[in-house]
Amino acid sequence: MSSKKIVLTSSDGESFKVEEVVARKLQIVGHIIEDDCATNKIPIPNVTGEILAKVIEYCKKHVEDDDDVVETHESSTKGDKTVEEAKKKPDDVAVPESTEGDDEAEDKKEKLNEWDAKFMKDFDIKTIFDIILAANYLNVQGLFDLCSKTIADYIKDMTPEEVRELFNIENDFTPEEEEAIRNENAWTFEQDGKQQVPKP
Amino acid sequence: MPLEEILSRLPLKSTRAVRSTCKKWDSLFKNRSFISKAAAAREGESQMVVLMDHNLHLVSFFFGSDTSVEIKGKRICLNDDSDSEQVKISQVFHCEGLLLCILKDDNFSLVVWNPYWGQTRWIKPRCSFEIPQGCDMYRYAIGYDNKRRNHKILRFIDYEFHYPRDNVVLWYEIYDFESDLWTTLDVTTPHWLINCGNRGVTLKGNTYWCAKKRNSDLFLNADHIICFDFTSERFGPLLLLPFSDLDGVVTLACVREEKLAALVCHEDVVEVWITIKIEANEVLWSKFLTVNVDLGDEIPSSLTYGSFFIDEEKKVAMIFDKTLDRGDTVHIMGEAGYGGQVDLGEPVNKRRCPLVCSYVPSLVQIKKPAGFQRKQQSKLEKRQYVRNISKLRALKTQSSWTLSMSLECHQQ
Repeated sequence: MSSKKIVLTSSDGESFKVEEVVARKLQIVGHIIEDDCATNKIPIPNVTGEILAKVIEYCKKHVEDDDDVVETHESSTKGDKTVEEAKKKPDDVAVPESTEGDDEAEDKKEKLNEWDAKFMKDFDIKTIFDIILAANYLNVQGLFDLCSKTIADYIKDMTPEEVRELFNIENDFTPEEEEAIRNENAWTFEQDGKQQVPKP
Repeated sequence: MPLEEILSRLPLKSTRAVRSTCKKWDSLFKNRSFISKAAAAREGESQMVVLMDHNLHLVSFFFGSDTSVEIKGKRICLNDDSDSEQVKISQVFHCEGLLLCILKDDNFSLVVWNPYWGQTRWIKPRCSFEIPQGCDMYRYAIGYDNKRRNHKILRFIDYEFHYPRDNVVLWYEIYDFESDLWTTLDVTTPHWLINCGNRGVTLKGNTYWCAKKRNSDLFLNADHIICFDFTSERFGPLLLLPFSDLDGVVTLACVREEKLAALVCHEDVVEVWITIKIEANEVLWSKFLTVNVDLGDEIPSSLTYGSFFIDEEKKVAMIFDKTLDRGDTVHIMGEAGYGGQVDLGEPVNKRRCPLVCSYVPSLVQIKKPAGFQRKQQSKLEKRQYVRNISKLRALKTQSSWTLSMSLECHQQ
């Protein structure tokens, strides 16, 4: 494996030296490297050092994921297409039965998920939102999904007032409009005709 | 972009709170054409719509640690717009959150309904055709154009009457929600035959039926499936069903809006297969379940006509059926074998099995017609309409069968 180093520079001038294979996890950086127009120093003008550090930490941990590479949909360079085609699984093959290799992969996946959960625990909502914006800009799909899910879980049981406060949103509905929305969603699932199956 | 991604990951139960936050968030929800598949899967429970006694019920199955199942259901009511009278439904079809209901009225009116919003759209067929027992001879399907994201309804009668003399009635029509027009499809010599009682299943905007080659043995059961592509408005080729020694009636079901399942029951063995790949022109199957249900008289033969539902994760099939005393019931089957029945009560209509289709709540909006810019029917369409109506009318004069036409269509 290549031991080439890439230096990423944040919007506030902080520099991060990373392995090329890690830098490629930032797909926008991967494209630059692929186009072979890179020196070993790449500016990341829209992301602060604090946030870029977190993105890089995630990418180092997920360096072996195939997700980000496989999910490139807007690839326009020949190199990327080659990589994508090589990794794409043929969808005509029947699903193989589970093997020990699959069990190991499953175990590794579970540990990664645990790491992800711990990684997200340290951040407040504002930081998570900043990371979402950075992951979106840098096209790190796994981190983008992880942060989106984390915020969705956080707000899913909130009242409208709590959501407005969290996101600093002003309520621009009239009371009548708010009532109309409430009525539109009045339909809910209720218990009616509950029955228990006898166990065999 | 990031905000939409966050909101798309919220469970549906959070919809009201989030939409009430501000107008921008409300708009983000409303403008989504189709809810994310992943969001629906996160709801967790298996959900379906069941038609019993001309009423619709939303039903959920909750599985315990073994094959024990708890069933919860709630009747959902569709009211007539004008006089708030609840209408009777004779058939129901599902397409990603929308229900196409065929009403039990004189004209077999159509209603497209999003129960989640309570939004409806009433659609008048141009004509109907029924036998004296009140059985609708038409087949129906609802799907959408994948390119224009526009919903459509397919409706056809394709039947060979043998009395008083051999006479094929064949008329395929499609209704476009945007133009609010019915159009005759150019189907004159179909290579397929879809049996009269066969119900289509819509998957990813296209509809699949069990079918067989036209002019094959009259008593041969359907041994293929066929797809109608709502984007190209064409039927695809016949694709083989996976059963090796087919001697029973196959029924189809949708699995989590991602796959088809096919079920056959023959000589006390229930066999279920699931697609691992399904397109208009190609299908690959994988066996899902085989259950020996040799339980004497406990399972009547009508099991072969029941509609069914699959929970792939739990490896369970639920088949809707009649009990021996004509009550409605669900048979539960899994890898451990036959798991028992759940009684659904005694319907007024003793003859009809419950009808089930999968259901996924959706925020999709039913498109309204374009208003004063409605297109005119082409002259060709008007001629085709007159010709087909004449055929149906001629058949009426030769038999006691009922032919009725909407006055609006007649004056068109």
